[in-house]
Amino acid sequence: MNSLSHRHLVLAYAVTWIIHLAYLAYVVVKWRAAKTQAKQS
Amino acid sequence: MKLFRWLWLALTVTLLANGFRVAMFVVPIDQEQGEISRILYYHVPSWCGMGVFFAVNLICSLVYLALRNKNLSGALKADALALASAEMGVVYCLIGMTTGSLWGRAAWGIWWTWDARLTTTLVLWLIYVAYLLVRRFVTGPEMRTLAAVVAIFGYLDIPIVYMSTRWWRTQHPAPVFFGGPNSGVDPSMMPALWWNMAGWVAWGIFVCGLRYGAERRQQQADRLAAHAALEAA
Repeated sequence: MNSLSHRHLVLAYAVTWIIHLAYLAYVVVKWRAAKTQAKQS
Repeated sequence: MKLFRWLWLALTVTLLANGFRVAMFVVPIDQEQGEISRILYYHVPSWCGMGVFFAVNLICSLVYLALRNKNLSGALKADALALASAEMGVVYCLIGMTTGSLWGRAAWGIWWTWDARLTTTLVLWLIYVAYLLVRRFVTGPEMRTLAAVVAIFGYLDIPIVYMSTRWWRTQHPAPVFFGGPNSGVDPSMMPALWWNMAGWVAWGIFVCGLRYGAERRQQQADRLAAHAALEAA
């Protein structure tokens, strides 16, 4: 098994999940902040 | 609505988990490229997701421009969805470029090249990042109109990106899908592609729905704050 291919395959899958989960975290923070702001006003 | 959201998340996770299983353990390895070819199952769905969400952004921008003087409530809903879909499209585009770069380093020995496909894709990503910056930093009542116009111009790059491998000689492979008689992938690879495409588009719809909800709440809070300020004055 080519180690470069293996490493890059793992990296590609990991990077995909990291970017998606980071964006999901950002959206959840926005969602909660908007919910709190709506309650206050 | 809350139940539907949880059910949708469960469906998405199931699709993604099965997509991963099929991509890793069921479909055979490509004879020429070996294991690295499995990047295809995350790379192509990212481009599909980008295409879907930028198209939604275009439609919502057009709807906003059409409704802004007639039906403000409808126009604001379209605007919130335009923002959510643009962010989602930017995320998919970034993932497509990153996975492509990792694939390129292993397959061609280079991280990046300024060929027509890669360059037009980078320009596309930058256009939509500019769209998000316009939304973030431009203030005043015309911000949404300006953003909608930028979105319409930005979408003009999508056909150029799609056709770039047909119009010019590129380092990026010739069209794999819809590229003529000798194009396409082996039929044994298709299940992994379909599962992952369905899973990642479902994921995008889930996250986009959350972002849309947050933006709608923000719009309502801004409207209430504006009313309160008017009453105080």
